[in-house]
Amino acid sequence: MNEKKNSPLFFSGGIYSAEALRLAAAVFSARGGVRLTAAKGGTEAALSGGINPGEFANEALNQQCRIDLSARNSRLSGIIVTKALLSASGSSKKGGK
Amino acid sequence: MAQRPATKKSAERAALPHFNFRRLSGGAVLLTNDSGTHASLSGAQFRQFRDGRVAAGSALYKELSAKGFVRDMMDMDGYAAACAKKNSFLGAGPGLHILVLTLRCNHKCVYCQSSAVGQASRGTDMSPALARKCVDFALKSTNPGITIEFQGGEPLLNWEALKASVLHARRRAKEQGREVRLALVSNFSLMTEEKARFLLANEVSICTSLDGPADLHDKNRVFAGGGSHAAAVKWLKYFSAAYKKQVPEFRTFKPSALLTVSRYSLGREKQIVDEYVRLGLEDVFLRPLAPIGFAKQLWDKVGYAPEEFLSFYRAGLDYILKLNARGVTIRERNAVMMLEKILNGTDPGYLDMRCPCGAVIGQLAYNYNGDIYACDEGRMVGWQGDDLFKAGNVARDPYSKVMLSQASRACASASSLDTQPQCSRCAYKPFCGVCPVYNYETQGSLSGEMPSNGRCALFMGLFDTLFSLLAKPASAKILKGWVSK
Amino acid sequence: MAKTQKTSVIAAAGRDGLNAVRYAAYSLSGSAYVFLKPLAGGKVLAEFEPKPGVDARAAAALPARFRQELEDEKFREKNSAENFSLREFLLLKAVNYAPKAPEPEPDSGLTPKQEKELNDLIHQIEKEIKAETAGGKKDPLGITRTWEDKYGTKTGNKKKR
Repeated sequence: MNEKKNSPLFFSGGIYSAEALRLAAAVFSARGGVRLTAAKGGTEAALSGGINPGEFANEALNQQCRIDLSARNSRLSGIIVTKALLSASGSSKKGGK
Repeated sequence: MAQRPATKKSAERAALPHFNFRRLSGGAVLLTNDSGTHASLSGAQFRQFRDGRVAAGSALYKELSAKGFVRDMMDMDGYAAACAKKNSFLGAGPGLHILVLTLRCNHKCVYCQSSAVGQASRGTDMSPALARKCVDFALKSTNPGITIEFQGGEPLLNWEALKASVLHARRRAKEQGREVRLALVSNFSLMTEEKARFLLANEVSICTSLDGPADLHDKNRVFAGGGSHAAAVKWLKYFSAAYKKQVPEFRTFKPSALLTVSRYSLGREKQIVDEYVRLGLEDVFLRPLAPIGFAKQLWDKVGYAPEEFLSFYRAGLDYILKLNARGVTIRERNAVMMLEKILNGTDPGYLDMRCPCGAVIGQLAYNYNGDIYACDEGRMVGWQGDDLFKAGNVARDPYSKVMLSQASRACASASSLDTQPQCSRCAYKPFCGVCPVYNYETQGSLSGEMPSNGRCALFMGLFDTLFSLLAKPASAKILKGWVSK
Repeated sequence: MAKTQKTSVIAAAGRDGLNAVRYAAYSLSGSAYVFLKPLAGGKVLAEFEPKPGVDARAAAALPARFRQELEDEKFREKNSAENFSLREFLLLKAVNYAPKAPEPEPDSGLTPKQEKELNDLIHQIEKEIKAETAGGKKDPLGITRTWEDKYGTKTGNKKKR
């Protein structure tokens, strides 16, 4: 991990997707600045405003794992969530409005 | 769960169904599956099981078969029925409706999360008319059982709205033939004989805060009039006596108390439990503080790390079990709710620990101005200027729109454990749930990041503690007795 | 200020699966800052920098923990893949689950009106029997009277056995 202050971090595209990095940047948007730039073989992330590079890297991995998992489980998860929402709203039976 | 007769010969491998596992301290491995059944294996047994080398005639095989851990022996109908029972809340709407009758309060609790303002503050009371509208809105819920809980600030500061909504709720419930439970959460400092009689006559169950012995309680819950503990105890005794008397005209419920563990509580678990026992209370809820709302700002002063709370909890639970062994009736509420799930496979209605979480679809918080929030914690975030968890307004938005609001959909999606990397593979998944509000406040996103999430560490610790106690016959007997049907 | 000790482990994404490597690394992100870098030959370098507050012993255990987690994750991936369809089937079955309706009572072949008339008749007869056999009332058929009471005691003619 790059220990120099303000040096951008390089995330390999084979391990961290651009989408994961965008989501991680959004999570950190309230804490400081994250500038993402496409680079050869991946993405560079320039952090400012005191964002801890280690925390950002962990969040990027978190988002990548979520993306992988959603690809597998989103159908099932969606069905359960939809059932809960429709039952609560009364769309699946009488009541509600 | 019924089983099909064995069709495979004993030497054959047992095919593995889907399951989650957790390596516990001491080498044991806990297995669980989606239906909520569990098995505890030694390290060697787990290796046998994982490698498909459990002999079909063995005692271990029989246990694993009975619990749905042998794929070819699974009772599919029974498995599905158990999953459905465990998740019965999926078929109903919000059961808990919190009416925040006022933000005004006459206490200054060090950990206050309720965005309370001073007693003389203006413009933060719910009008009686709006309170009645909130009751009508709550009764639109698709849940056959409704609880309306009056909170604040201090709800007794807005007696007119409280009285109006109680009478209106009772009238409406009778008209509609519905069971409606009413509950008041109050510090009791403004309780009078007249108010108490009204509440009892209208079958309002009573709950107060009790943080332990007087010095601890009063340190946590600063009351300018002095003696917060004295007022709480005085009226707890009053309502307890009323409960014991029971009159034929109306039902009287046993009063209850809530504990909030602050930094000042750590190390005083025995004294806290003793205070509850002294007052005849049979349940103590060792409830951790969350860094949400005002408590977030004061976390350095009143907060603690998950490990600190867990140390407090284990000592407290250990003491409670010792008391039980001596014949004293006292249970710990976190444990009771978790054990309902683990041992009985039922949903105890703990909205913080289910998937999807109870935000909007399980509970609603109605602010003094009619704004509806996903939960009370979401309302606290709203008070600080962020309306992410606002689901609508009782005067403007129809029920179905609130149920399908952005706040509702976002919280439901974010709390789905099947899309959480750590939760989806966790052995405690069948019994647990995440809190999008906690995640947002502490980690900046609704879904959070579980490996470094304080609430996750805390819940894992609680589950670890319970499963470790369930593995010991003496403590298991007491714990099972807490939730025996 | 003491420098935090970074450790690293090389995993083989080809052999272990990139997902398993990611999840194994992810599971340690509570204790460490984790960074994954590709290496030649399909390998992945997992770097761990212990977070502040993590003691030296826990920090030293990170590589071993990662290797254990990686083995566990590989198993989880396999188990999950083998059971994906079955799990989905079971959970959808649970979502749509409805308890079975109770068995209907057997049909007597009578209409409700006929059933009512029959029940009323049965009650009437039961009432009459009760009244007939109640204490103090006469016994019109002489059922409760002994033979001697009815016909008197016999003499002489009785055959001796």
